[in-house]
Amino acid sequence: MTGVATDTGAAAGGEGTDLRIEITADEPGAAVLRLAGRLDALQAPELDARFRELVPLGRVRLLVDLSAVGFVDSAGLAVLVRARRTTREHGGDVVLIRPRSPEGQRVFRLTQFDQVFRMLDESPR
Amino acid sequence: MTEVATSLDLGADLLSVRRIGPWLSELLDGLPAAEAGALHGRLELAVHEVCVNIVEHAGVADGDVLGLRGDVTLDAVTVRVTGPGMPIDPALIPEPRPSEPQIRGYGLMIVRRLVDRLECRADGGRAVWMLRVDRDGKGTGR
Repeated sequence: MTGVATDTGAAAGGEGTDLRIEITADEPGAAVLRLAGRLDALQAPELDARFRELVPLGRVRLLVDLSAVGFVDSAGLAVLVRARRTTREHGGDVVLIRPRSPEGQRVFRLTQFDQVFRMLDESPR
Repeated sequence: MTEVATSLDLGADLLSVRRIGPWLSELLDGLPAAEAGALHGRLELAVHEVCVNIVEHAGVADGDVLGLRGDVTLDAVTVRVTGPGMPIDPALIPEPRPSEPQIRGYGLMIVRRLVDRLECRADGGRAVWMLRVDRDGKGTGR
């Protein structure tokens, strides 16, 4: 499975950016999810659905690239926390690439989940 | 004394909640850019979390509306959110332990950390949330 892109949800009339999810899964047991836009309560279920598809396929080592995500709320955080729990139950983990914007980073900092998740500044080579 | 006041009626649904950011931009337009930027970041997330909480937990019905009013004074920026549901005392809601990886319950904790004062009271059968951020000239990013 390589380069599966999903542009989720209806347009918000120019008020906000929908979440785009691109999944690359070239390595057995692993996948990279590149996200762009808003990871909020409206779009979090779409990301949750992607995780629920990947884990039963044995893809439990997940790298989630949030660098182009400009807004994360508690619902978006909850989906990531649930994925972390599920993948770890299967011997994997969720590693995050930190959002570039302060708005994207804020939820992680306020809840101290920036100290729970392994968070990278950029994608490993 | 209020220097600027604006209001906005939102549909009580998750898509409409996305109008908060642009509305706050208008409300804060007259402030120095650095302060406005910092206040916008804090208030957008805080007001968003309150509105999502109402949409998801207050038993909204078709056609329900969330009323937002923002006031900018020399001392503070205050946003009031009026919506369906019973008022709750934010101080009585237990917080998850920071950094402990439980899945839900972080919304109100995030709001508390973003604002200087948070209240919720009843008004004519609706709940009115009041979020106040004190002005220090910089917006003190959180």
